[in-house]
Amino acid sequence: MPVTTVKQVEFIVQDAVVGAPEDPLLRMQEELKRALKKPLEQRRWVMVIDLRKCVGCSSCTVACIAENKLPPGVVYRPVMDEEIGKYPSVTRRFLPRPCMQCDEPPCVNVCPVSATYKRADGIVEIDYNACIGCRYCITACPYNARTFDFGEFYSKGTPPQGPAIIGQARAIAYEKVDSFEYGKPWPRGKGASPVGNARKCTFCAHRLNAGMLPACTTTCIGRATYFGDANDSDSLVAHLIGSPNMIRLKEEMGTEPKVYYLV
Amino acid sequence: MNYKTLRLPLWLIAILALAIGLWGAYDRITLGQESAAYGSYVVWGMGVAMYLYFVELAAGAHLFATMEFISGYKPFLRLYRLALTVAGVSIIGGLLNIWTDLGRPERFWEVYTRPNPGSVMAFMVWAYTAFIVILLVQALIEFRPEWMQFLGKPYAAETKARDRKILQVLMILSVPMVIAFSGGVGALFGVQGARPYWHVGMYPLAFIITALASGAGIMLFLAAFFIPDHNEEHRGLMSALTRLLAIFLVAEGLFVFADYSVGLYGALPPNVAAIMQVLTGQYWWAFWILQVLIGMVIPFVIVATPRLSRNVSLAGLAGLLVVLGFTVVRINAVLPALTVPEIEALRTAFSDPRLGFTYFPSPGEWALAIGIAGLVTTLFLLAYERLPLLKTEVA
Repeated sequence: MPVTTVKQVEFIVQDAVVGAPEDPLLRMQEELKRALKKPLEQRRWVMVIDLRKCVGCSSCTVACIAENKLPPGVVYRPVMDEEIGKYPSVTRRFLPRPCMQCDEPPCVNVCPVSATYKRADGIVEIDYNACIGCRYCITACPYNARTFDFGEFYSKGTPPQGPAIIGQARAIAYEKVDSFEYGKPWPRGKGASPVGNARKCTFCAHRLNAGMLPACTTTCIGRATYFGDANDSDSLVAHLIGSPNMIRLKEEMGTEPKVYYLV
Repeated sequence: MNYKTLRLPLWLIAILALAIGLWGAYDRITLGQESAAYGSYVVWGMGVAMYLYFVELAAGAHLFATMEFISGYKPFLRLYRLALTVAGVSIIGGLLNIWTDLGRPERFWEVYTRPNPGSVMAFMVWAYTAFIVILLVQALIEFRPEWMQFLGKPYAAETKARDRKILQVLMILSVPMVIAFSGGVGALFGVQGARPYWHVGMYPLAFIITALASGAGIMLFLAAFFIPDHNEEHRGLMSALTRLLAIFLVAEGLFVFADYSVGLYGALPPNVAAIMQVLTGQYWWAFWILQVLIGMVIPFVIVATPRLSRNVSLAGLAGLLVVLGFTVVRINAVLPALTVPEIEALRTAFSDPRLGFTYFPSPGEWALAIGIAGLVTTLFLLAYERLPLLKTEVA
């Protein structure tokens, strides 16, 4: 017979009376469907990350790498891990850092060939077939949120063969699976774009178009990442970004980031 | 000491550098950006620094081609063809450095077909294009007597007078053009609000001063060793060049001092971190020994001491030291801003060799940079030996 705490009993009673609280993922999924019915320019995608819930598991980082087939040197959403204080009074805090999808993106202004641009819904994208790989946009980003694709493979230098389901051959095959960023396949061949291009998080724009939430949002084990249309006043994110404990990174830069943190 | 003494060592150095560069080119062609040591955070390295260096050398040298026009001092005319040649080979070196540094070099033409007018980088490309066009027209007109003779056609006095007027117009155009593009390179960095080390209002002016100092350095070196007849006019030229170099070196030193001291006093953490990396970091010797001592202090002592500066070889050596030492000026302009994280905790957020905040050029990057420097030197030596660079016909 499992031991039941008073708190658990309270939850059970509450669930019986008013029904179980809705999983935010299900709510956000519904809101996403609602947003997709609107014209592109009427949507305003924002991400809210509740730092009180983030446990620093980096599952969002891994999900992003798997979703976008990111090679070595390219990361869209690292989770920063800071130690506060000195031993023995030490605490840690975690801060995931996707692209901020700035309303005033410095990266767009500097691109010499207009290969990076802001969509009508606010997502900042890169035209891989136009980017010349000058990396000016990477230096202009105040959040280090852009990285460069050197054309490398994680499997390079690994032992030639292992058991059937692991080993170099499998790893190479996995690494060469097409990425579907921007809604089209990007085969990873020698020298083909996005090799030699700047790369960045797009809030998984290709998934959004298919009615799916960003990979980092669905994978977050603590439901610490929220995503939705801030122009929808009934959306979860619209409520959250009005919280008094909301901050944005480097507000003083005037970039108007669309990633909000609850602290 | 003159060119006859220097000829063999210069050719040997140039050919050796070219050979090294061939390996660097092979490395870049076969491995692409994989062969570079920079990463996703420190995204610019040797290629960008050398691009800046050669572009400023081109700008500085070109200003000396117009120095007679600006100052009215006739001995500067002796430098006209030399200066045009240095500007030409240097801009080739600069653009080769940046072209090979691009992730997709085959798409460089997109800067013309789909430019972003708001980008300083796009502006720079147009400025280089205009500069090259002006330079080519200037060279064509200046060498017109020779190629008319080669074609067996007469070069009439009226044509010469007309050409001289065209050259004067081009000189008027080229002065603001050169200032715009050498200052524009400074603006390329200065406009970046995200990087306090670069985001300095005076950065474009500092780049112009660096261009002038490196231009004066290379011209002094060439005037000392590549102009054989050391007559009264040459003495006047040397005297003017040493004085100008002294002034430009003082200005360069003042800019560096103002930039770093104000930055340190302002105590903005990323800026202080970047400046301290230059002054006391792992490569402190590059700043103190190569940039300050070899590139500025020793040449300044030589050109500012009349007894020393009257020695043509010593003065030429001072010019050479500036040219060599100033390579570090641009490395120290580019790297420190990038080796300081924009968010400190990013240092440990993701373990990957490309996601670090340190940088030292890879063998491939060294080889490519040395090779391009070798190509620039070879092109200049070829031009010096094959073309009549020591006289001025039209200008």
